[in-house]
Amino acid sequence: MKCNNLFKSCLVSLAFILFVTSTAMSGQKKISVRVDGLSCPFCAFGLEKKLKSIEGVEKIEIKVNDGLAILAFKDGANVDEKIIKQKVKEAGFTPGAINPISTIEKKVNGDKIELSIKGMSCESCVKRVTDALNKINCVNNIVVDLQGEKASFICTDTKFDKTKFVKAVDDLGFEAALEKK
Amino acid sequence: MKRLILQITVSFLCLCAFLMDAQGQGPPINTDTPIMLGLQGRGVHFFVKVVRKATLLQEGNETSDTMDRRITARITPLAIPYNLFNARFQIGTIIPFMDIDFDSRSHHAASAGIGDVRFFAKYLLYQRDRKRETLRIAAKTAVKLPSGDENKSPALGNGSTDYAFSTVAGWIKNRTGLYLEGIYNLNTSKGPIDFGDSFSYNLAIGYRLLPGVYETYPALQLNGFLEINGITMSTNQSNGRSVENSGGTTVFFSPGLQFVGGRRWLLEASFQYPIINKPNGTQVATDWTISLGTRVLLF
Repeated sequence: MKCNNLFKSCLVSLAFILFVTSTAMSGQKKISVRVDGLSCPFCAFGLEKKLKSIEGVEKIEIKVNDGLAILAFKDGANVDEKIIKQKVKEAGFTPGAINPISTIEKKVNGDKIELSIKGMSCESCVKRVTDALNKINCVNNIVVDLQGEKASFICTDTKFDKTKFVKAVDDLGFEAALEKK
Repeated sequence: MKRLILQITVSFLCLCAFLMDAQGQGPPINTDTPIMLGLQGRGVHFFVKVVRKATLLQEGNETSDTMDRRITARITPLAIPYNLFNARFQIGTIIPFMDIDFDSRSHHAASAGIGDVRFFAKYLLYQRDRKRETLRIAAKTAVKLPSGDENKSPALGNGSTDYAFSTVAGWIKNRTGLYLEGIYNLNTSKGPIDFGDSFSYNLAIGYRLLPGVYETYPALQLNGFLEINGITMSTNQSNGRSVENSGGTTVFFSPGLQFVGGRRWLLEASFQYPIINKPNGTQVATDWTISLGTRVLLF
């Protein structure tokens, strides 16, 4: 009888662990590729086609004004920078820096925070802001929008002092403010 | 008319200079492009061009035509480019369908059919890309076959295999584009009339009128173009002697509009008015041309 209960407990625990793991690992890997020469928007057809042919690519967005291609990969897909750059070249453009937009987005509970950020002018500013916010323990799923001049993320600690987010960004030389909901 | 054209050109150039802060527009309508991507790479280009000639010019000055000659040509070329191996090398063909009417006080003649078919190859020589900017230079060579019936009246071709060599440069930054093209046409005709060689020169300035800021591809797009399209032809030869009433120079001022409706198609229209019309001797000169076309991406 005791053995039977132990077996049931093990089974339930295993199912729980599997559920938690799969939940934590679900989501997309997104990267941005700088594409130089993207000056005639309808030339982007070939670029879209080439990037779609990369294994694991699920969605493509071509941001003409930013000169960027945003690639969303399927879960577990391998991101090979060499192949991405090769495809951009084959499409007739010049590839530039490849940056992650967000790491694996975890399904997490917490407060959704939005910061307006003034003073960002390039992708390296986006990276600096992302890195600074990532250093704060409770922060997850950061998306920094250069054009929209804002950052959004989830803070798992609902009691965390939110002015610390503003300070972290201000310390980089930008001007941040908490967006009112 | 020339004053009005000058005013339009200056206004357009000022607008371009003032608003160079967003990006991109499309391929020019009457000028070639070194950018062999998207609709310019594997897009079939089909258009109708109506050419009207009804003014008799003598040494560049209008003179009365006692025969009242009028020529209307409706040319519908189908251009099929194809990028071979990569986006740097392109081959293609241009198949023109011709429908020509000739009228005078005493005579009417009309002919229709396929004109002289042309095959071409284009290679990208130079490419410099920056964010929202590109500069490209391409070389192009073409061969024109005598597929048009030269014995029809009016003739649908000149009966010889001719060659063309050209260089085209294109620079696009933000919303504005600048294109330059020079074409040397080598005419090899031998017969009662040897047609002279010609040199064509095109300049196009393009500006994306809408959208103001092109955020995400694809988006509806409206482009405006101002082009200068010129041709200087040497005189024809007949039995070793120069034909006086042949050759000359015509330069067109060509405003145009282009609407990009999606990933795979665009519509365009252009009007050409001669600002320099100096045929040698006495010839019926071109009054205007109108082009209406579409480009569809098939491959």
